[in-house]
Amino acid sequence: MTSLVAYVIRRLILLVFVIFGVTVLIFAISMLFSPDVRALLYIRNVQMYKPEVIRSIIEKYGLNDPFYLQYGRWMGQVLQGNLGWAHSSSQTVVDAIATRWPNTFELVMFIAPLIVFIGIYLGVQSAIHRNGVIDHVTRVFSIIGWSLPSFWLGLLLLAIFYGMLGWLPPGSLSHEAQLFVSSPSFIRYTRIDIFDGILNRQLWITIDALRHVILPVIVIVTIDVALLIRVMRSSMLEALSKPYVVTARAKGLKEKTVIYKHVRRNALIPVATLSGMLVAGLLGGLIITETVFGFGGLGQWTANAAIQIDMPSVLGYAILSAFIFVVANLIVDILYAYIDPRIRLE
Amino acid sequence: VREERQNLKKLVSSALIISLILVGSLLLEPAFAAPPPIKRPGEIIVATIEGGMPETVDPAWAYDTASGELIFNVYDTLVTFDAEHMETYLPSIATEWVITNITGTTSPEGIPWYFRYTFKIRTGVTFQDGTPLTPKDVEYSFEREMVQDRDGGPQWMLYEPLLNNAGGAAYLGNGNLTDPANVALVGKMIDHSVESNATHVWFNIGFPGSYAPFMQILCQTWSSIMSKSWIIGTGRSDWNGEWGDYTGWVAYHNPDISPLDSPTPIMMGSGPFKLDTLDYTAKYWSVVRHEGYWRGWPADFPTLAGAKPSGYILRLTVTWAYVWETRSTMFLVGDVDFCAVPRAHIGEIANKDGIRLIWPLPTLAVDAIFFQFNIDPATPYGPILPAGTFGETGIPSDFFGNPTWGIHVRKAFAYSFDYDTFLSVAYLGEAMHPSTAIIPTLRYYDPTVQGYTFDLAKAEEELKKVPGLWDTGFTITILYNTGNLPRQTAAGLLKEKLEGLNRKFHVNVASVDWRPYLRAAVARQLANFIIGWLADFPDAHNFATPFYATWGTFSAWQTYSNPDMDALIDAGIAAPEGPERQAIYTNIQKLAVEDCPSTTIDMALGRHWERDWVAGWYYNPIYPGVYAYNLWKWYYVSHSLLDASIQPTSTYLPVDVNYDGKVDIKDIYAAAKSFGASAGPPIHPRWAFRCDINNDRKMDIRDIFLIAKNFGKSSATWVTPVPAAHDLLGGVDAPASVNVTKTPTAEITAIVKNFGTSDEANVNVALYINGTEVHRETVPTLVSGATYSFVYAWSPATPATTDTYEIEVRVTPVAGEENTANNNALATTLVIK
Repeated sequence: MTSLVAYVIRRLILLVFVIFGVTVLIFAISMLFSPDVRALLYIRNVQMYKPEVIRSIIEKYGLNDPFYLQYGRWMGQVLQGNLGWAHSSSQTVVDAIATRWPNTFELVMFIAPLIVFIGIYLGVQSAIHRNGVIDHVTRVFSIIGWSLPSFWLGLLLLAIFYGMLGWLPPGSLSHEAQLFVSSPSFIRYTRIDIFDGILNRQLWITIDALRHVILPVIVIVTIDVALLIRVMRSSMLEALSKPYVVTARAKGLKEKTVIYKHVRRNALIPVATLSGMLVAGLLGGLIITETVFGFGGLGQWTANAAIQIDMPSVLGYAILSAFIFVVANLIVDILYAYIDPRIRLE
Repeated sequence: VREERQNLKKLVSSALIISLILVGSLLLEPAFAAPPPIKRPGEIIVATIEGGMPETVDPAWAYDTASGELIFNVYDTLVTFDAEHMETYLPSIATEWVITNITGTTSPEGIPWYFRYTFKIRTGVTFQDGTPLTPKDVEYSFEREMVQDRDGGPQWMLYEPLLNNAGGAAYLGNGNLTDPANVALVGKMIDHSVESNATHVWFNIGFPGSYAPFMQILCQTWSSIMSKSWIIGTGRSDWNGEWGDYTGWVAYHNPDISPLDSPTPIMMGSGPFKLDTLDYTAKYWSVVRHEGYWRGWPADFPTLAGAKPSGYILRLTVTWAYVWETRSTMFLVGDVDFCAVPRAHIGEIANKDGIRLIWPLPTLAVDAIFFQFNIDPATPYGPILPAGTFGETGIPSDFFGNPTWGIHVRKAFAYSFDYDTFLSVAYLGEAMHPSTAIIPTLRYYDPTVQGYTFDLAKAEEELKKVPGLWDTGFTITILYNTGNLPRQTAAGLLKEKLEGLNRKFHVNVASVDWRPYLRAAVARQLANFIIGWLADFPDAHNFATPFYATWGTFSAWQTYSNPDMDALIDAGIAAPEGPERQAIYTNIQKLAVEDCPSTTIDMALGRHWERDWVAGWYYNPIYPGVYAYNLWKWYYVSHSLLDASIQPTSTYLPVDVNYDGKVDIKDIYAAAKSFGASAGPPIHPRWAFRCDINNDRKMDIRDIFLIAKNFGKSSATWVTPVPAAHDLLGGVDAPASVNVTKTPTAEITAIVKNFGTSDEANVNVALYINGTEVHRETVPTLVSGATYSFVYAWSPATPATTDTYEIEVRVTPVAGEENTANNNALATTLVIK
């Protein structure tokens, strides 16, 4: 346990350097543009395109200063919790992330376990019934899932379940629920509507939120589970061909024990890595799905910020993204030790 | 007998055929479908484009239409446009006004004044927090709007008429107000440009002339009336209205972010709606009806033969969360009442049940190809040859600007542009080709002035007038911003037609991103550029200046200057409304064609899409978006915003133009009053949108006939909302600021009013300070209409410098209460050491 704590602390210290590296890199890329080009990012309309205005912007924001001074000013603000103003969303970057990330998380908390469990289950079934009906069906399902464009699937499901049947509308909440959660009497404890509904004893909010996550979750799971199925299947097939499986069977172990206790556990290592990266990627935002369903998550915001060259937002997202990936890696490493006791955290 | 049999056969056959036809027609006749239930009868939801996010809630800042739409519904102005009409005004916060010539007078700091606009301020108007609106608020609002403007902000519209760019005022909003000598002078000029007494507010015009469009400027969001005490009470870093030594104000000028936007957006006006929610994450804003609005409900305009709007809504919501594919489904199922429909997708929505289309709508937007008079030889979009030198590989730097032959090149390019093909490809035919920048939507547009048309023979003729050009040829680069299909189309058309004229003419078409495109245009790096203009105010001056004045936005980029044109533009804005101005703007249009510094290529025509249960909408091209005061839905409204259970018993007939529930002679009379009028452009003074029954944008006998055809029929009517059985209203009265050194204890009054029709028992009222409950009372009985209040003595802690406290009253909803949005009230108090 002590070694685990030390390992986690070491990795968290590493996180600081990762964030530093990422932000320096992004900042350095932005500095490749001349000060007057960067000043254009502050221009809001054509009337501002005047030499004196551009000069004034360069002076006001110190765009002519050396790299280390500009970076230092920005980092100084970051250390005080100020990531700047996100002009692409008219709020502070901290607020933008704090209000959008829970929406993304709300989706991922359903998507991640579904992908992992369905992916592992179908991958195992496919492998142990190799070239059988289950294997063929699963493989076709995964090929189709992987090939489907998420926007197309999303729109199709919306047309059926909202346009025709009126069951599952777009957005993260219905309009009435959205107005209710915005009222002062509703406390946003977590900003995750499903939980906040329960905490505020407004179960209808929770049910409403659940109704709104169904379609985006189906879309992402259908598409992303395909990769996991295929990796799990390959990994299982490889493990099944190992000598210890023959030994286990020769010892007279039940087939279920061989498959689920020995083979599956060994086959999980590449799946754990993939799952970690997949979940980290999902937590970083689901651009297309969030856009199609108007879900107001992190992915949609980040894409919009990048298009508008909203540097404070891009840098803020970079910090969050680095954090998510480092933590995801850390969790995967800890899982390795659990899955395979031969791996030690040192 | 045979004949009888034959006749009988014929009879039977005929009867069979007729029976079959009748049965068939019965089968083919679709069953009459009852109108679908109206969704959210008390609310209108607008789904706009994804980029339709308000940039700010501050009228001093707002220059985008998305912000303007929100501000327009929350704040009032001194005067307002007369519904569809852009040149006639209705009293609003001002009840009457007078314009006087004060030429010969000067401001205390010596700036000449020419005209004075004096407004009598309406009494009895209250802001949404219940405080009265006074002339001091009006004066403060305009001064604040000028003080707290930003670089590239909208307040140049006040600086120009009031300050005339004198004494350093040109630096306002231009990022260069750093000279301390100017700061005090400009402060004094702002202070003295708007003055008030107990009953009136007046503006002193420093511009030499009457500045005719000043009234239009006063109708718009940058001239919104704000509450001085509320703004100071917010405790944010906002200007407090004190001038002192006239140097302190500059600290509030050009802030990075408006204090009203950060940390959370806040609004409080006297307008018809109050801000309920502005959620940048869920991407919508929602405003609720200001019950005490001084104009009353339903709206008192637009009137038609004495008939006013007959209903209203309780909430307006605008969302920019959805892509077109999602938005269209929402519109078709009725979850959205107004929807932005891209031109390319019109076919997916047109003629669908329950959806009404109003078109074509003339806009106040125009695009043009601008010619650069002095191209930078170092441009990366060359090659550029020395002035006066021709070569097949490039163009001379004075290609368009040469004083001797540049005019022929400009005209040749104007004649080479295939306007009709451009409009049909880039705008799918939904645009007009205006002759000049003074577009048909504007007063003083002169239809007799003929602009350029596509004529390659004339283009060749003009090019041959340039010595040596036809034989030598040229290579020119035309740039457009990536992703802009109309500009890409325009560049492609020019290439095709010019290269078709002469094998030695070469046109390179390239694209760059929007910002580099603008930067290159400003830096004289583009031989020509295509850009558009959207009106700030609907006056010819606002189009003539950017296109043709030496100091104009686009003409300055072009380095185009014509003293005759400048003199005309100056004369146009100085002249009073009437024939004199018309003559000046006619001359401007003629000179614009003659001099051809640019060629206008399109004026877009708009469409309005709405669910057919919406009533009261009308079109004013200068409105920044939906103005909801005049709108309603056809249903018997109940007390609840969301209660759709009670539906209309009959369908609304659009021929019932006076909304009285029956089609009769009054409707015909009302329509006859606008007979012969058209929606233009330009809009006719007697035009009345709701009488255009067949929606062909003109009032003629066909509209009258359609009304007459339905004579005597009943139509849906509006029933005034029934008060709710249970409805409690919370209120708070807290000081805007507390100086703890002088008064360590402040009084806060918590108020609860029973707006419902039922008496209530055990009403809980709690007072919170910064989220912590400090006092709670239970009112044993609160009869209908009664008010209860308690006073809390508050002793705030002494701050280091200042602290801001949120004071909130929360009234616990009673059983059966549906409208709980008004149960809580919030105030902010600034505590000063």
